[in-house]
Amino acid sequence: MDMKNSFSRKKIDGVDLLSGVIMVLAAAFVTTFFWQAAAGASGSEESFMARLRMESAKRIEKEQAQIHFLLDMEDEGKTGDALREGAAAAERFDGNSQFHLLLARGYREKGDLGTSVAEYRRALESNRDYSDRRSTFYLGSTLRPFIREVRLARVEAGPGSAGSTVVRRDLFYLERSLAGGCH
Amino acid sequence: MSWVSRIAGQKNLAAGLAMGLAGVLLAYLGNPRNTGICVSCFVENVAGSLRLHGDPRMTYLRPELMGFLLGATFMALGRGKFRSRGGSSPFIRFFVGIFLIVGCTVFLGCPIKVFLRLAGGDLTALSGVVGLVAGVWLGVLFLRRGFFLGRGVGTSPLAGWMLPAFMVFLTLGVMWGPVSFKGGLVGAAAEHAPLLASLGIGALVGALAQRSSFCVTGGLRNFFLTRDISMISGVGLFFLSALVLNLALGLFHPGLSNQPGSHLDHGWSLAGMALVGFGAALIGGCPFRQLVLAGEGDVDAAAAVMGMLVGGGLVHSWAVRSTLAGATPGGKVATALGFVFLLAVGIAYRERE
Repeated sequence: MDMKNSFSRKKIDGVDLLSGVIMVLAAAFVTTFFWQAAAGASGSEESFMARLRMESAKRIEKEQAQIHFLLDMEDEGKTGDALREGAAAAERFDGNSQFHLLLARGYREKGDLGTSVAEYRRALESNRDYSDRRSTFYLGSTLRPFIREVRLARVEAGPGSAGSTVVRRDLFYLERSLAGGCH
Repeated sequence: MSWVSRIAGQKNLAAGLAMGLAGVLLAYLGNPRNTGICVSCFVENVAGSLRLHGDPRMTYLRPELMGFLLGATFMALGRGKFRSRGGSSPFIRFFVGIFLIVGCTVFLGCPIKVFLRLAGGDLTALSGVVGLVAGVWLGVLFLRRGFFLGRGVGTSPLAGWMLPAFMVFLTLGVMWGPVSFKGGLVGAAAEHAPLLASLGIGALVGALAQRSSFCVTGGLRNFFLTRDISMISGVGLFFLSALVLNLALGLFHPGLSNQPGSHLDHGWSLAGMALVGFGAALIGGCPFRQLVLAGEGDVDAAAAVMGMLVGGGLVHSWAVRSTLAGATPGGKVATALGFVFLLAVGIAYRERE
């Protein structure tokens, strides 16, 4: 009897059947496991994005609430408190130019022109819309009279007044920003 | 030889006059102040349109840039001077092109804009003039000692036509392409002269520059090398005509503080322009001249232009470009690296007898 005939005549016995069932079940288990793992991973990605979205929304809400709080404080005449709160908020919400604008306005009202100039500069540095003539946020009409006011005050104060060089540099920055140009 | 006979380059005078008038006119028609012609600014704008950087305020397919190159192409074709040639260290020129833009953006303007800024009353540009002269002088030292990037040879016309064809594509893009491609929506990018005026004036200037070989750094190089003042007289007239037209149009505002697109880091302005002058002297022309040469079929200059384009993207992505507050840390490092690179090139390509 040759080998080929011996294989062809061999019948499937119980052991073969059991092995086959075990292999199919194992394959099904492995497939299901990886399927669920993949689904779980994408699920966690979705939940991560949802969490991120929620956190961003909360942060914006907090920022807006803080801005309105500062405005309300100013309206109530508590400028000093508003400036303290505003400085902390500008540090906390780094990159939000609105706090710098509020601070600039507050210091201007208080008569601290040097700090006001510095805050206007920070606002312009963090949001270039303020110096873009075509933007609705352009601050040219606000800043030009202010720059004249500061210059006049500096002339009256005389040379060598405190922080003179820093204020001059900040003023130059404001002027260059409003002058436009390719930058 | 009398000085009168030395000023024999009327072509240079004509080109200088036209460029001075065009530079002020384009700013009057809508380009940013003192930026009627600025190759580095335009390159940055075009790099933005090609998405090589992501600053929408510097994203606009400036038609002047295409005009310069295609104007040179038409003039070269008309005069039978269009010759496809290359093979003079194109990869080195590519990197020099990158560093030309680095230097320009540290200063905030190309060699042409240095004089346009000065003609508009911007006294901060004086440091740029000093830097440019010093840089070209440094380059001339290497030229005198046998610096040579290799001789270019004639090559397939296809190579010479690649960049003009690319510029035709960009021109079609700015004329009929979607706004998302051509940009020009916010900031300085939104300040631009009417399209046809930009394209037409650009082409005229490019054609005249091809005819005359006008080049700011080339004029300085010729003066240092041979005391030839024909080209530099064109540069002088360019400055004078821009100054007169600025005065006539009320665009002359002298001072240090209220100047558009400038900063007060004079030392870095000087260094940036010195880098440009040095690099331009080594590769045979300023950024504007590279455009014109590329328009004539010079593949080596085209490599420099492509380097400039890549540089236009990198200076934004890597925060190399100066801001109104002054030079950035990235700009300072890049300028220093640029000098190291150019010195290495200068030494490596010195032909010894």
